[in-house]
Amino acid sequence: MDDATNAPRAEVEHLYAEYDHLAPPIGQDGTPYPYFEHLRDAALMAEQPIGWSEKHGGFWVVTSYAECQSIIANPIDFSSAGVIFPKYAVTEPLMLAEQDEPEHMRGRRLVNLSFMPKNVANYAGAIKTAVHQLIDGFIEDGHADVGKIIAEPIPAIVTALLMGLPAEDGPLFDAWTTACTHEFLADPVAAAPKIAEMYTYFEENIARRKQEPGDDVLSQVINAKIDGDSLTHKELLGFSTVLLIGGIENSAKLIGTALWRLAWDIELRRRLVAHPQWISAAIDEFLRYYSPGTVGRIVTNDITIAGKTMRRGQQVILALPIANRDPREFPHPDCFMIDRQNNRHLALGTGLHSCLGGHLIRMEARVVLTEFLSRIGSFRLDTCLPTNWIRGQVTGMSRIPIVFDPGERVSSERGAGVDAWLRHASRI
Amino acid sequence: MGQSVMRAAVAAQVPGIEALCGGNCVCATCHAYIEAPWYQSFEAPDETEKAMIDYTSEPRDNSRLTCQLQVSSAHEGLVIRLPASQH
Repeated sequence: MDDATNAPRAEVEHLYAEYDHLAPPIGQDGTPYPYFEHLRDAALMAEQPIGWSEKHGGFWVVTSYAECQSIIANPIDFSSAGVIFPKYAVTEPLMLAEQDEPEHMRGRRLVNLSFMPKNVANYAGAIKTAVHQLIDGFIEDGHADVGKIIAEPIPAIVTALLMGLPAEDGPLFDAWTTACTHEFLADPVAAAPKIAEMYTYFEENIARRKQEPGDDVLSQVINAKIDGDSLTHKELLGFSTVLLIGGIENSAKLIGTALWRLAWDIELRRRLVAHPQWISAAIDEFLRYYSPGTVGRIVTNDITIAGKTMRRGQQVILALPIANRDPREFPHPDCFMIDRQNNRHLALGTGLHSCLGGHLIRMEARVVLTEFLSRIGSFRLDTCLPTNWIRGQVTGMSRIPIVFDPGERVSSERGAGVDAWLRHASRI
Repeated sequence: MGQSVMRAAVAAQVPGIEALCGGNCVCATCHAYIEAPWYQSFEAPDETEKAMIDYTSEPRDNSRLTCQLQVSSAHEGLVIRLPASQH
């Protein structure tokens, strides 16, 4: 090959070598997408969908849709034990997420029906009430950080309901989740006591649920039998943490990023205000366009894909935010299209490990956006204050300062969960 | 022939069959209503599928998860209808 042909390959190999899924450069738009688009385009030009990163001890990076999909759909050669990399600071393995077959499906069947559409629909009314009560807390002010006061509280309130935990503990859940998934890397000393506190909390709740079972998901798991055996205490702790982290991380980032986009994309916001029936399709496009999660796998058998030989034991990272912008799968991938047909994005996985909470997150985001836009149909980013894109294995916009014309409260009532969050956000 | 209704629909880019779990009877996003007389021409659903159908957003008597339906020559002219949403 001559130098002209080698040049794109050398550039993309350099980009892959520097790729760090936990710390992508943030562009002028406040997101890592300019960088993701650059890496994608370089990979396309060099026809190198897979490369080797030197970060975190070295790992494979997959940026194309087809290869990401085939690896996720291949549990024989790729283990989910590497779904989180580097591993979160949890002492018990994450049930379901880090499990392979047949253990994964045995655990999944225990809780699967609880996350089906008819069951998650039972929470829609409570979410709607919580959104309106949260909005009542700031609508008279004409300004708010809707990352802090909508996107973070709602998933914690829903997770508390689902798991049968006190709604007022929501701010704690958020702090623990952040400690396990982000803070442990930046400040492990500060994160450690929060993680210990989380396990103590779950120890107590598991003991309480054994005595007084409810109709919540945690009680179902505690009292379930798999092949005649109950789950061990360690497995119950692993289930508790995965339900907590899984319930909060993706939803908060999806809702936050959507509200941020709607704060400046006036055309999109007007369309959704005028046609709320399009919000469901818009949510799948948000999931594709700003995919919150990046997932990993560990190679279990030597395998060659797209000319790269992956060795047993090596870590693979599937760069879903990049793969979901692959032009070979998604025409005009960098256009946000709410009427996109066959939007088969990988944001919530595919195959056996497709997201347990896939129906829940869609319903949650739909109710939040529908109710929010019904109350505050016009708002814009407060450009005097900074936004903040949270980086990590699950990413999205977390600080979203907006301004709008003040409105009136519709109610003075506050549920315990909402009250805790409004206090937490120093609104009282 | 020899493949599931879900696979055939996905290959033909039929909108509305999401099939997020890829045919593992986990996600219930390939739900469809099977028109008579074809409904009876498939093997009856197993307990897992039956339980999942009950928890879809709009189950009906002729509901099936299309990943569980194997197409054969007996299904020439098969008509299925889709729910308003898979979620």
